[in-house]
Order: sequence, then structure tokens, then C-alpha cells
Amino acid sequence: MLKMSNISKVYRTELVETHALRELDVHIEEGEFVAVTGPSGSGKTTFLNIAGLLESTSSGTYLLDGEDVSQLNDRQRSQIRNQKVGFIFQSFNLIPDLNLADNVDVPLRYRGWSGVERRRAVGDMLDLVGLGSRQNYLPSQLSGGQQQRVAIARALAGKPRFLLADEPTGNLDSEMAGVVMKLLESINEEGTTIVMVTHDPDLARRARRNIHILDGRASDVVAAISPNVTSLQSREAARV
Amino acid sequence: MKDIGPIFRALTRNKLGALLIALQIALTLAIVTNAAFIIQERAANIARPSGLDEPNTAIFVTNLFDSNVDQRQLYRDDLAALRSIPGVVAATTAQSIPISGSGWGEDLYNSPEAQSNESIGFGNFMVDEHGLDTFGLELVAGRNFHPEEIKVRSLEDGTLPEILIVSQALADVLFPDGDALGKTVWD
Amino acid sequence: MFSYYVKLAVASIRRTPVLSGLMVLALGLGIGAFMTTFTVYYLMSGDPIPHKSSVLYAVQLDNWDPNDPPTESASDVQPQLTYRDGQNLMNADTPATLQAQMYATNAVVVPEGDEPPFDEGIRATYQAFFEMFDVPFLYGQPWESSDDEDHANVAVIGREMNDRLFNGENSVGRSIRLDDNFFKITGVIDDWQPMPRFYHSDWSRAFADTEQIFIPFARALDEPMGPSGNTNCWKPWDESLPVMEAFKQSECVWTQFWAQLDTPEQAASYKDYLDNYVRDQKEIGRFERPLNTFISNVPEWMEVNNVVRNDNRVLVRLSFLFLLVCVLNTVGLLLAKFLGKSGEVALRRAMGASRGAVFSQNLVEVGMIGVLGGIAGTGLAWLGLKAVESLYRGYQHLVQLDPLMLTSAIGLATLSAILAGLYPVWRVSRLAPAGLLKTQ
Repeated sequence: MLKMSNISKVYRTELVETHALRELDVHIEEGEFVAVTGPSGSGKTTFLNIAGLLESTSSGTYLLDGEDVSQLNDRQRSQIRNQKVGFIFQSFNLIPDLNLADNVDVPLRYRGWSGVERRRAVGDMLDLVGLGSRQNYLPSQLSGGQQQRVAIARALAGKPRFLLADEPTGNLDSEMAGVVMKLLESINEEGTTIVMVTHDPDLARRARRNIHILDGRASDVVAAISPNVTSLQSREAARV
Repeated sequence: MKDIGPIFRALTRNKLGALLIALQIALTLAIVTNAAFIIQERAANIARPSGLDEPNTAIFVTNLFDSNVDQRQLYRDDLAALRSIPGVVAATTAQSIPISGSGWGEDLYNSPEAQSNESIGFGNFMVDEHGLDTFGLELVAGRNFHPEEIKVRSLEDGTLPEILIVSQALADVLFPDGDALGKTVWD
Repeated sequence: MFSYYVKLAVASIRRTPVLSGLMVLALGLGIGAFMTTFTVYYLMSGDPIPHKSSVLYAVQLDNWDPNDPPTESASDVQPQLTYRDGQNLMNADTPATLQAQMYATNAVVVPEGDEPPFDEGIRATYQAFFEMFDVPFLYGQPWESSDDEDHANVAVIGREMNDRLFNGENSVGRSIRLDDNFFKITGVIDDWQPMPRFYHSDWSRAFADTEQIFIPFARALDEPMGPSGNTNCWKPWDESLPVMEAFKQSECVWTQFWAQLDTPEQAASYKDYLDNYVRDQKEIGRFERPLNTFISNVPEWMEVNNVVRNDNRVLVRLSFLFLLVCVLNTVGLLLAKFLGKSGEVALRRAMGASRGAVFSQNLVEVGMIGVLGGIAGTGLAWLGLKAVESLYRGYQHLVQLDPLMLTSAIGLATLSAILAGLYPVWRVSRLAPAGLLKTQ
């Protein structure tokens, strides 16, 4: 589904030329749960941004669902990003001005859906993550874990082809982190592809596949299967 | 003072912000200096002394239209009544009100052969023998009008009076040699 | 999407009340100051009688002192005519469609009941005045031209006077007492306020209320009612004659003269007539200066008389500079606001907003601040105009905020805000979302 070949990304300032990615090859199939690891400055975030069409490549090919998306203009990339990608970030995930329903609603507005369609999707997604009764709350009224769940709801609202998560549990304590991970795992079991950047080797182990990025190049790591992977009941999410 | 260095360097890094502020300061300075100049010019004009004791001088305007009334007697009676009020120093009639936005101007010549473009324009006030006291004017040469010299002008007889008291400034312009007293002028 | 952007703008403004309030205040001050001076300027320089201003002409004849400097333009010539010249033109068969000589005077109005008498301004003119200037009538009509010839005791009064003396009833046929005499009312005119009253000789009064009483020119002089406007003489009048007679025969100018000339050919023909008239008068010893007649239609007349004073222009320019300062200020505030929202922008880009969508969303917010600034500015302009009114007697009609000025205020504010916001909004939409979403 997602195929990057020979991707390089160079940042040029007046003084310095940085090669964030060089000759990167990554191939991800539908339904995979991939953890992306690597030291700081290795190019993990750049890889995520390129995968999510937030940035264009300096050279190489990026095929998404068979379509070459490497050299599109901003409007085209934005449209594909809107339709095919769901983002989850480490923090600053929600817009503080808006309530939860309006936050989840954001990608759907850029999709051009009608009010009826949007409200239904928002309601369904917030129910999925266990916050359906709090549609009118503001983000400031929620805990960190709850905010991340809303972010997940938003990422899923438009039924994207894959989720891109950048350290989604980085700011959460281990209990909340566990809940969020279980939610992600259950979503993956329903068939959504997930690519997750993480520092944490334990979280990396929970994914079925590990890609390690070092000095701008990617390589697969054989992951040890954790014996603790179980499927998640949505009731447990309500505990947080 | 030693913080000036870092502050200045920080400003040069944020060029747009510094530019915005500099432009605002420049424009504001332009506005303020212009406005200050205009105001100062006008204020100087307004502050010029009029020579009139403004707080202590009052003007009344009367409209007499009833042809059955002896208007001259009415004026005399009104003036007498005003003069008898305690605190009133003097009262007179005039056909022109100072500092009112309108007035009566005349042209004078210092010789009968003078050309019309050699006239001196001035504002005139036709008063009685109490005129000088009412306007608070100080006589520096010559004498005041005598009561018997006061004429009455009317719609039937509009001839101009034959004597006048002038300001020092007008005397100097008409007769630069300084001997205006007793001289004749023509209209 | 527009209504979505409006909703987002409202939410954003509510969450940053101080910053948004500062912006609205900055814009409001600039707009308020500018609209105050501009409204006065606009009303002062507006066409007072648009549908007829090109066919109504003021007449000037150069009967002045031969020793004065030469006449180079209409601004050098006296704006009024002598009694004699105006009468000669009124009584002759000229090429004009209509002509009216006139002057301003006053009298004491003595009401019927217990109300004390009061002094009131009067316009003494001819029947043609009302048709020439399209004066609207509430009741009745102008007096007859025979009333002008007969020096009849007739009058036309204004609506305010009619309300005051007759409770607003149809007073046609009733009488108004001016000084010692009664004048029969032939008509009551409706509210009529040409801005300025271009036919008035005294431009300082030309912006004040229209006079409320009109009587025939010849009848006013019989009274006699002298002119209350400007009177200029370059030659002493004949003192052997009674004052009024001497005045009428003198070279003093104190009457205004207007003619309606419907076509350019008619205007040219009338100008020739005036030239010939002056040549005839020269034969009897008058008009000792070179031949110089002028006819100016209303817009030209306003130019000749320099109606819009330099003061007004300077004020408009200074207040525009002030508006500029306020706009620059707003640019800085907008930069602060939008760069502070860079996180939200990055999120929206990640959600699939194109740069154009971010640009539009923020521009709508800027526009809304502009509208709010315009409303604030209109309120401040209203206050400013009240202050102008209290400072300048006679400016009552120059300080009205009509709907056109109101919408221009809001339009100008929105435009200023959008101009101020273009750079900040553009800057923010160009932010690379990738870098901003990384936390450590």
C-alpha cells in the first residue's frame, strides 16, 4: 500500500546542508502495525512527515495505493492527506478553542462532508474511544490520556487508509499509555494500518513489525513477539 | 545602559517587528509635528490681545420695528437706564460689534487727490461721547467728542460724521510724520 | 466553508479577548478619526443639487475699482452684483430660461399668540427662485410673478416655521407678521437643505439651516430691509440722496444673481448678452475696468469660491496618516496573534488543510476583526462629529453620518484589516507544519 523507494530529503540553510534521509526504502502492506524506532536526529520524524505527505521528497519515489505522490503540489498533497492519512501527535493534539466534537470534526470539514454525515461520524468515533458523552467538553477539561483518545477519534473519523502516530504515548503515564496502546491495537485488528514512531522499546515490541532508522536509512528489525498482546475490550478504556 | 547592546541586536534579528515600530514612530512624529505647528500658529492668533476688556464688556442687540415708537428717544432712555445701574462704568451705541465675525469697514485717504488704490482700510465704530470709556480705550493725544458734536444718522440722512478719533496705528499709517492731530482725511 | 470560518473566527476572538480587543481598538481609533474629518470634507465638497448643478449659473460682472490689480480669473471678481445690474438683467429679455436676483435679510417675526417675537433670517428673491432650485413644497406654491411686479405682501415659509407658528397645519392663505406688516402665505416648503447653500453670499453660513422665510425682492426693499450678508463698495454713494435710494444706485455689490441655462449654446449666448450689456453700461461711464464677465455653474462656483478650505484637506490628510499608524499597529498585533496560533495551523495542515484553506480561514478572522473595528470606528466617528458640531457653529449639516458614510466606514475598516493581515496570514500559511509538531 505504501511504498517508498530511494527517498532522500535534504534540508538546506545558508550555511549547512543536512541529509535527513538518504536512500530510504520502506514498504508497508495494508493492515500492518509498524513501529519506527531510531535515535534522536536519525530522521524518524522526517520519515513520518514524508509518509504523511506533510513534506515532499528531495528525490526518490513514494507510491501510495499505486499512485506516485512524491512530486505533487501543496493542494494535491493536502487533499490526499485529508482522505488517506490520520495523524496522532505526542502533544498539542487538540485545538484549545474548540470542544471535542468540533475537534474531531476538523478533517471532515476539509473533506466537504455534509453536516449530517459529519455529526454521525463524530458521534460514532467519540463513542468508539469511550468519550461519546463528553462531546461539548473543552480539551482543557480532559486528562492527557483522554485527549489522546480524542485525537485517535479524530484521526479515524474520515476512515483513513493508515494512521501515523508520532510518540502517541510519550507524555502519558504507564497506565494511560497502556490504555491508548490497547485502543490502537484493537483498531489495527479491525484492519487499519498503523505506523507508530516511538522511543520506547516495550511499545515497539507490541507492534508486529519494527523498522529502525539510522542516519537516514531504514532497516527492518526482527521483533520479539510479546506474549502479552491481547485484544482490548472497549469497557476497559472507560477506566481512564 | 549596558542592556542597550543586546536589545539592539535582538531588534535587528526581528527585522519586521523593528520596521513596523520604526514606521509607526516616524508617521506619528510627522502627524504630531504638523499638528503642533498648526495649533501653535492658530493659538498665537487667538491669544493676540484685542485691546477690549472682554470679561467686563457686554453687548445688547435691539431690533426696533414699530414705526410708532420714537426710536431716538428709546435709545436715549435705554442708555440712561443702563448707565444708572450700579457697577456700569459706561454705555454707548455702535453700529458694529467687535470680535463678532462681522463688522463695518471704511476706506480713508490722506489727500483729496489720492488714487483709490492708495486708501487705508479700517474698521469703524460710530459712538457717542461715552464710546471711549465703554470700549475701555485710552486717549493719548487730542480730545474726546463733545456731546453737542454727536450726530444722529438715519435712513433719511446717512451723511457720515465729520470728526473722528483714530488709533495710534491708523494715525501712523495715514500721517507717518506723526502730526495726525487736526489733519483732515477723505473717504 | 465560509460559515465554518466565521464560526472559527468567533471562537478564536472570544479566546483571545485582550489581543483581539486591542486590534479592534487600534482600528477603531484610526477609522473614527479618519471618518470624522472625511465626513465633513465629503459633505462640504459634495454636489448640493446634483440633478441641476450643471445648468444653474452664478453671474459675475466686474464693476470694480479701475485702480485695482487686473482680473485674472473669476476668483478675483466680486461674487455679487449691484442692485442696478441685477434689476437690469431681471427686467430684460435675456437668453436665460429663468433668472433670480436675491439677497439675505432679516426681520422680527411676531407670532399670533403669546409667544414673544423673535429675529429670523429671510431670503428676498423672485418667484423664479423656487422653480430654478427645485424647492419642494409641502403646501401651496410660490407667489405669482405679478406679486413680484406689484411688490405684494406675500411670503413662502419653511416647514419648521410652519410647525412653530401654525402647528404644522396648512397655513396657505394665513398671514405671518414680519416687523410692522402682515404677509400672506402662498406656500410652505418642505425640508430643503442643499449642502452647501451655494446661493448664499456668506460661505460661513452656507452650511447652516436653510432660511425659513422667503418674500419678494422688491417688497423687501420697500420696507426697507437692508442686506444682512456681505456688502462691498469701492466708491462712496451719493450722500445727497436718502440712504436706501443712494444704496440702490451705488456701485456697492450686495445682491446674488443666478440664471438657469439649459444648454451649452444657451450659456454661450447668455455670456454674449452679458458682455454686450457691460459694453452698453460702459458708454454711460460705468464699468471702468476691462470687460470681464463670468458665469459659473454650481460645481465651478464652488471652485471659484474655494469652498473646501485647505484646513479641511490638511485635516483629512493628517487623519489618514493616523489611520496608517493604526493599521501598522494592527499588523504587529496580527503577527503576534497568528504566529501564536502556529500550532493550530500545523494541526489543520496535518488534517488536510491546504495552504489556501489556512489562508482563507485566517483572512476571514482578520476580516471579522475589521468589521468589529469598523463598528467601533463608526461609534467614535459619531462622537468626533458631535465634537466638531459643538466647536463650529453653523456646521450642523456637515456632521451627519449618512448610510453611505456608515458603510464606507465599515468597508474601509475591513479593507484596512485585510491589508494589515495579508502579510501575517500569508506568513502563517507558509509555515512548514512538519517542524512545529515535534515537541522534543
